Amino acid sequence: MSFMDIAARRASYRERNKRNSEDFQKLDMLRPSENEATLLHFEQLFNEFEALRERRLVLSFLLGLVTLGVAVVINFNYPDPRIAISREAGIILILGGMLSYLPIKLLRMEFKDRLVPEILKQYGFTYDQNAADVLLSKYEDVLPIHDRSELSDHFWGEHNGIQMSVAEVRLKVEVYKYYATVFDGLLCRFDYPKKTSTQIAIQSRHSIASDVFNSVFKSSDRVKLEDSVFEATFDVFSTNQVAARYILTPMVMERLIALEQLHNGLRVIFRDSEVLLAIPDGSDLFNPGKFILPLDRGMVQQFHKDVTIMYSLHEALNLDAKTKA
Amino acid sequence: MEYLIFVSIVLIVLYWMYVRAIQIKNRASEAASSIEVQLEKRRDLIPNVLTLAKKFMEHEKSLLTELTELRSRANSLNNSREALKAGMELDTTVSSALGRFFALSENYPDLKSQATVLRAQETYEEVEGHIAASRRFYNSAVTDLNNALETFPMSYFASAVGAERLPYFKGSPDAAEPVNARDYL
Repeated sequence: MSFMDIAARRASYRERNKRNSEDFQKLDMLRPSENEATLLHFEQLFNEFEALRERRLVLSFLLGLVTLGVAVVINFNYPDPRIAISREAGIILILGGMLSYLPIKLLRMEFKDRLVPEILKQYGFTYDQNAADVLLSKYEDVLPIHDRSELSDHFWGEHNGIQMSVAEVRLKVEVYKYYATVFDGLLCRFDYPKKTSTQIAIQSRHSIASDVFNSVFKSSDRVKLEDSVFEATFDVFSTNQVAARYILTPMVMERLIALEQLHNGLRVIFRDSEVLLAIPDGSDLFNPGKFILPLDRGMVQQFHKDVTIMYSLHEALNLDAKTKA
Repeated sequence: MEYLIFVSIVLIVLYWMYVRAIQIKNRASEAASSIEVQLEKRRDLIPNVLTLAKKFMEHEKSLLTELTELRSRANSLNNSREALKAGMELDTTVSSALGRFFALSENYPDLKSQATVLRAQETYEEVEGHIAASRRFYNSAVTDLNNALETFPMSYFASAVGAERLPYFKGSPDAAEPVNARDYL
């Protein structure tokens, strides 16, 4: 990686953090105290991990230096001067290189084993790097047609009585022996309290894959809603016009618009008292990068925003049931 | 040949407009009947709660009588356009009376604790949500219908299929009043 790349990446992080911070100011109105406390805790976690990363980098550098030194000494003492690198020096270089990389490799594992679960714990989630196939199998028919699926970073739990399950998913379709990605993002499932047996499918107009609902909603009618911003942003399909409006109250529509503004191309399915959100994020949720650069703190802010809106969406669904009861 | 193509296109467009006018008219009828279905669900709740309430709420006889009368009046309405308008007006009164009933039932713990009343209240909340959704569906369908009746050339086709302007479902005047927080504290 060149210095230009590093500088460009740093600039992109700065821009992303700035954008996140601006968006946060809007979200702060929703949960000011929680935002502040949670983000402060994350700041501490990141600072600790950052210190560990720096120590490991120094250790890797020293191990690499020692390996190189030993290899050079062995090579100098080699009896045949025609050979540039002797076999012994080569073996030392390979083994030493692997040994030098070990602290960084362990850092990656520690990031996923310690830091990510700790972040998710703040939201009441349990983390598992190996995602179960439950989400995909249940909603196979409403996701883009695909030949291969990759799941990772599955987490689930309960927050304020909300059962939620989220997984990172990449769906690919085979095109002339190659695999093209048709969906790359998060699948989020949670319960909602309203009783209705009708299926409602909401698809962003920014969504690329237009075949998403074809298999299930061929017989569905388009639902025309009164909110002009929502109408311009989403297409809604349902077999029951009244039930669709029963679920999509003005407050729920407002939350969906907010989520769409964060991730263009949202898809939402209401089925069997469950909501499935397909959020095309396009990047790994908790990707620590190469560890040469400081950690990207924007990823947690991004995650925090996503979870906050998911909760607020559930609250909007829940609120209608609670206030009237 | 060109003439034939032109005539065919015109005929297809005219046929499409005719079909669209029928769709709009039927959609409005569907929306009106969906409201009726939900209102009927709510009216069906009244006898269940009244049977129990009569035992406990002796001081609220006037409200109970009012509810019984409102239900009878609502049941007597037929499916005509005038009846739809009258039904909408009556709906506001039924809603308000039922709301008052459930609010007053808070003062009667014996009644409030009855499983039937609790179930009725839950169903009432659910039905209210569906009624609100039906109203939105109806108003959306009526907007399409009224637009078709007022825009040429759809107005011609809409009139030809017997479509008529329908009234919008408006909220109760009380809902437009500012809420005084002191009343609830």
